[in-house]
Amino acid sequence: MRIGIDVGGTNTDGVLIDNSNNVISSFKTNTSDDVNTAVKLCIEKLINNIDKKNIDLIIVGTTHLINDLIQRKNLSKTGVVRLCGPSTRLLKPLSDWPKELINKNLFVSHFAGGGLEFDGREISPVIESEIKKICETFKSNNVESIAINGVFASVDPYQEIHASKIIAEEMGDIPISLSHQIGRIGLLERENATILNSMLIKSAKRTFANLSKIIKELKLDSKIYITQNDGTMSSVSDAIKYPIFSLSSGPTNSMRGASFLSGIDNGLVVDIGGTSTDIGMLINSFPKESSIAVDFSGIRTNFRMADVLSIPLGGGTMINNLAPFVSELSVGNEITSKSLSFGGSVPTVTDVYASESKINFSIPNKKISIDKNIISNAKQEIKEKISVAIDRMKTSSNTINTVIVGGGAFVMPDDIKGINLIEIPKHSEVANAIGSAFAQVSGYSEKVFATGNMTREEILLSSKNEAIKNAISKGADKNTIEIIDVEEIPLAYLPSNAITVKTRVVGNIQNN
Amino acid sequence: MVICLGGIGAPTVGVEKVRGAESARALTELENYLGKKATAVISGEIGGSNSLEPIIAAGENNIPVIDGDGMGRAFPEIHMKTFFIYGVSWTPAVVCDEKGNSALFPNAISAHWLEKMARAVTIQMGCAAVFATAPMNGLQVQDTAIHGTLTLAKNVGKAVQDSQKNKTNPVDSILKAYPGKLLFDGKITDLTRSTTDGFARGHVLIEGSEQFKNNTLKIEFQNENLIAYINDKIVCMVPDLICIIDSETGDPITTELLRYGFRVSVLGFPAPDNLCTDKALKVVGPKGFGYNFDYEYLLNMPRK
Repeated sequence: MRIGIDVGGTNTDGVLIDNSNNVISSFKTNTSDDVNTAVKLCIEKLINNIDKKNIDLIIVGTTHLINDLIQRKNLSKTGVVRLCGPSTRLLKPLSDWPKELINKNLFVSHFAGGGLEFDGREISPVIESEIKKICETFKSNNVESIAINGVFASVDPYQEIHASKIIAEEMGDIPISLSHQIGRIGLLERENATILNSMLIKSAKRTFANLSKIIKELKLDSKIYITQNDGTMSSVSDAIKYPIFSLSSGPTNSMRGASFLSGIDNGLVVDIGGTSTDIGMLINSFPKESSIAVDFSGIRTNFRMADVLSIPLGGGTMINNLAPFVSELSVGNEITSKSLSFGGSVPTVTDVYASESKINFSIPNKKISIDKNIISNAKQEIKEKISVAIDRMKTSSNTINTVIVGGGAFVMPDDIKGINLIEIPKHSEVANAIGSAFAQVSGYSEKVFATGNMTREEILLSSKNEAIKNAISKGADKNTIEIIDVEEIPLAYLPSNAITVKTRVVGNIQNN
Repeated sequence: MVICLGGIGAPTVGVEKVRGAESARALTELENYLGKKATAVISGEIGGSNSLEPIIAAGENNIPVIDGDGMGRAFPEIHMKTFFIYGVSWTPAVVCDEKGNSALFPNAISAHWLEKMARAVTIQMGCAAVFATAPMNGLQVQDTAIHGTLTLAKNVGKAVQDSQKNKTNPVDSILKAYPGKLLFDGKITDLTRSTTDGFARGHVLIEGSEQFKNNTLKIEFQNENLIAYINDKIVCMVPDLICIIDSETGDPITTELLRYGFRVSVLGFPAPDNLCTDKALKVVGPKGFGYNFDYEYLLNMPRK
């Protein structure tokens, strides 16, 4: 059996899934400020009356990292080294970053000798004495994490590795992020992603390191995994090293959970939580990906991410006395103490619907003193907001199957045009946790082929087989493996006409 | 005197080895050889980053940039610039890299030879360099350049930015700023690329969606998109412009950035008049790219 957990901004959800993929039980609680208390409570409730030996896997997804990034909290002070020699110096690292973040005195960046040409020749060598000098400035500025980005490091990573060894010798046990392990070709976007990874390591340590402790405290012997942006999962140690790959798994988990619960593989998913509503398209049970450079909180990277529109509207959204009645602020995880329904003093969206039967959780105080006019105006505004957002995400004007999930699902108006509301499935309030529980295992192959000896079909097949083998070795069920990405990159101007082929596959985890 | 500036090399290299202020050095080196100062600079090719190279040099040297270029789009080879098609001399020319190296070409028996020599040098320089060429007088610029393209590029860019900001359909915005035709909407399902003689050749297959469902569009390219077919029937051909853009954002997707799974729209734009003369079509029409058929205008809309 396995447990899926999703730690959101407002709620922490958990589900217990048996080996035939049935949902045995679910549990929902408020997210605690320290994350771990809520996760522990969740697991405790779920394994009540269950033999602990039967829990093989615990898979956790969290929005904690992105929240820290948005709130500029728990970020590591980061030293940046670009190995470039005389190249690329017109645009410094962090050139296009939000000013307010740059001004936080979080970065120390340097150009240094190094960099490769497209064919692997050195633009200039890495100079040990120069890197050592740079380390001195890092030390005097109390840098906590390092990002190294070499020109064409994806062609050959040896310069980045060499520089990281020098830095490790000088600075001891400091986390170092190397660009060739983070992103693909595109110097500035890869550099941004590498810096982002580096500055999130502190937050990742705080979030993930204690999970293993919880498992021990609960005397469980389960393997623990963290969900990633693309619907796959990684080990805790990898998640701490590469937090950027787990930065945005929430929307993916909720959409995959919605797909599993509703049986809808293609359609729209509207996830209404406590703080925000996320809307995305499902294509073959995976979220539609945005094909453009992805912005994380104003920072441009070349990652591929679920294309999700998020609007500030949820059960905890505050209601004003004057128009616009629906504010953009939420009481977040304090809903059970601050909102009128729970005896507090702040009118929220939940209070607007408190008297209705759609709400599927118990509300202590059903008699809410909000003016009737405010209620009807607020409902109208909510309908307008959701309608506009749905129209933006729909890819055609045809009526589209739409699944509503999340703890705030009761907010969804039932008369929005152009959608066919799919009956809210059971467990919809824990769709994210279900998505976590069904995170997949990925397999990868990246290899250079000389096109002279093999046909294109043979090359692609060879790459595919290697990626499948890799996925099976990580625990994937081979009958469920599918290819999700194939990339062929010709190595330009080489007489041999060599190409690099990258194949990525994913599969469901093999049930024991 | 007006000097033409642009990048030379592989765009894939350009996104990694991001270019700097080399264009200012290329301009100065060509001026020094000729013994006189340029009064203005012009882009050799309005497509992509080549529209910006002269702006960097003009900024450094405090001289104007001419609103126009030598292609009205992008083409893969130097001899395809209208300056040379209509008789401007391609030499002397200078190639500069970011490391401080430069190469001067006082003579070349054809623009094609200049290309071959300049490219050989550029590969050694690491495949991203800057090229200064075609010193000409004002009258030559007026007669041979494609006019107004810097403004057009700016307007198209603004249309895309505005549509992103206002969440409107980028295709509509672009076609308003630059009259053309929506050829296709769909998803990239196959991509073949190979690099032969220094050019990225290949084709991309796009499976149709919405009104184009159950149709397949194929584009053959040599660095730039050349011929578009829907279900094997040609719908647009060079020198008319075939553009692939991201359906959601309107951002351009060049042949280097094409990837499996992208959702794209394909647009066709009529070529300007001075790319459609017999003289120009010999160089930049289908036959100039090795096809055995003549240019035909297929966009089914008025040219202007």
